[in-house]
Amino acid sequence: MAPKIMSLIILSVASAAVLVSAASPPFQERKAIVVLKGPGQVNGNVTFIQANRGGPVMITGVVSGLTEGPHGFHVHEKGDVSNGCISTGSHFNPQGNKHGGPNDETRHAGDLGNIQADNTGVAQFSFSDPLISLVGAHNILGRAVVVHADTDDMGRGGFTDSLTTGHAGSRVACGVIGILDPVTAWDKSAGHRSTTTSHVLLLTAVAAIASTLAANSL
Amino acid sequence: MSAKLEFAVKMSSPLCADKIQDQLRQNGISKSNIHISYETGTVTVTTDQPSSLILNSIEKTGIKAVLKGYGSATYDKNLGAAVAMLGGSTGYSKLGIKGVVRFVQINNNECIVDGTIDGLSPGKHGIHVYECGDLSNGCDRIGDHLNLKQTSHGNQTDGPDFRHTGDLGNITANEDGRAIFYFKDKLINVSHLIGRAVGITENEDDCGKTKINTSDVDGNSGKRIACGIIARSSGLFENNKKICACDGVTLWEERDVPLAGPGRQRKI
Repeated sequence: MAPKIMSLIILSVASAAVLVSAASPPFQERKAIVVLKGPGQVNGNVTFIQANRGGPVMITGVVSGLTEGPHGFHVHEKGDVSNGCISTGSHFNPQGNKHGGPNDETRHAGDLGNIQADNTGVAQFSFSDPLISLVGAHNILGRAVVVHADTDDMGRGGFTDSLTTGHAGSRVACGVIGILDPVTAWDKSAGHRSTTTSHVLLLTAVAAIASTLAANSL
Repeated sequence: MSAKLEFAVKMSSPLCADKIQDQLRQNGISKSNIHISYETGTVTVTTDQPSSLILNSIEKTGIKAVLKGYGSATYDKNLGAAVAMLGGSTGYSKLGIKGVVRFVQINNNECIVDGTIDGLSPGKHGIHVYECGDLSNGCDRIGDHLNLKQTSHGNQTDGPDFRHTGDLGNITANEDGRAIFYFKDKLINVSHLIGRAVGITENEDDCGKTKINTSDVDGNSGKRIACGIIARSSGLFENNKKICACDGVTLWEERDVPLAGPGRQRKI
């Protein structure tokens, strides 16, 4: 009996070790940038920083050339600007939700609310968002940021388009979200790493329990 | 392996469908590779030709068309589709160069690179994928050639160990300064390209063959004269004709009115 248990322990520990060694390196902080331009005078820069996988994304930016007041600020599904800001599609909405504000339970992933322009037409902002990401299913890389002419009513305005677009009006500037750092692969497989890691953790835990059980029975 | 292109076409009567079909067949596309739906305003073409030539062919009939989906002719699934706009209002160029480069993954091992660039000096110019998508200082901050395997510079046709991932060789501009290109690459994959940049250089890329100066780094291809970020675009049939849910404007109307500013402020 004992040799059998011993071999089980060795097997469990060995398989766990193999799986752990196959796990990905720790998540490296990701940074992305978008340069916003419009056909008019609106332009700006926004950076996105994510320190941890699944963690919030810090959004920092300056947009100038706006009219004073709030302007809808969204991530759109595509980054295709081949027909201007129009071909960027709808708000990025991987969950198929209704439009909302950034603090609402029900919102598009791309609903980042409004940015506020001062009386010189400049909006400076820095906030974090829990739903957008630079990895995985909510990855905003290669999509577009669009600044709108009007205020996003966050779905509460009662207009026909409040629940789809927040009645934010036309698109005054847009740009494609690009890689700033790191320059190594940001591909899809990287986005699925968390699943692999959790499998490894699960198997490690199973192996540890098996070892403990075996040790106790010895 | 071919690609399938989906165009939104504004046909005013079913007769337009016949006109478009005739024109496409004159371009050497067989009837079985053309599908036209007057009802949905869609023309689908299976081809190995650049999308710009197909678009021109459709528009020769006097009917406007917009490419709205691009994908593999074999697989229904979107394996990856991307587009970069160079120069113009969204990309960057010092010299008034404008262009579009599309990347379409047609199977796991082949990516179509399909583009048109205008405003170049006649002759050869290097084309590369660069590692960053940062246009905050023109084309100066897009980094080096994308190099996922830490290899030396080479040509697009070289083996994977003898080129950078982003080495796409040269494109050739004609006397009018226009370069139209279409090729399949076995090393790049759309999933690695999203959010990075594609750029065109001032000079011809020696593809690492001259061994002088920076030949093994950038092929002595000189300054980057136009660039754009590689963005996600629509695969086949992902895009409704009414592509803007935002203000209920269709593709056609949007094409004809200013994107923003006074002309666009009126509610349509």
